[in-house]
Amino acid sequence: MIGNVTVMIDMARLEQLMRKIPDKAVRILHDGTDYGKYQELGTTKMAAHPFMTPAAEAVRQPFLDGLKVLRNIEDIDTFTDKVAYDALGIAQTYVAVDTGRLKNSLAVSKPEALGL
Amino acid sequence: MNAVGSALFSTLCAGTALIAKLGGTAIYNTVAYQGAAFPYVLFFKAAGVEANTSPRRVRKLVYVAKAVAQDDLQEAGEIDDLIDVLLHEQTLTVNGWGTYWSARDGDISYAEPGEGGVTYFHRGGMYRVWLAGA
Repeated sequence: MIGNVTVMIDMARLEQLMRKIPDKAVRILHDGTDYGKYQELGTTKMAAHPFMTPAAEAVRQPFLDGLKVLRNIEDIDTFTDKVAYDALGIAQTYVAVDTGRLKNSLAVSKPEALGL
Repeated sequence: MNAVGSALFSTLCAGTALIAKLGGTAIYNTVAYQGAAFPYVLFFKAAGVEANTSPRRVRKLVYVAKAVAQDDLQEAGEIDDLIDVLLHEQTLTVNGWGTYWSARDGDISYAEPGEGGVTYFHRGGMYRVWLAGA
């Protein structure tokens, strides 16, 4: 005879474990203006001048390749930081410059610094 | 890479539902002409890198294809859906290249304030395009 099996899932323990995983291997490349998206994607009056997308694409494959050989979260965090700043440098070369406000506002931040 | 632009233009123009929705071939590459009637479809190249992982040439491109509508978010979204049907996981013929693959990689949605209280809605997607040498 086959009896019933009750499986108890301790979600509290799982959530406790998940909280211990450092959530720091994340960087956000962003601008600090209200018109960066119009430069990136264009308007009805102006063609797009992409600068974020080329930067992201340039570092995408090197980032994925690097993740394959890294083994601990500290190394991944350091590597992520480096890649983000590489992308920042590339974005700064692509961005259209008029007053320089958009270029100077480009930055790399951790999510918590942006309230995310 | 003019061949990719031509292939995208041809594919979008061949979408009868899209053309009907636009009321004609209001599809533009990179920039719409001044005074173009709304709604329209605009696509442009956003990025392109070489894979350089094998002797066979492989290019990874990102194109943005979006609807631009005046004061009508719903209409922009409907046109975006029609673009998606034509470009997401579809096969196109690109002159001079062999394998072609494209897939939607993300959404684009933003509003552009215009003069006189007009709002232009931009809805579309970023499409990843892989080209391999013939």
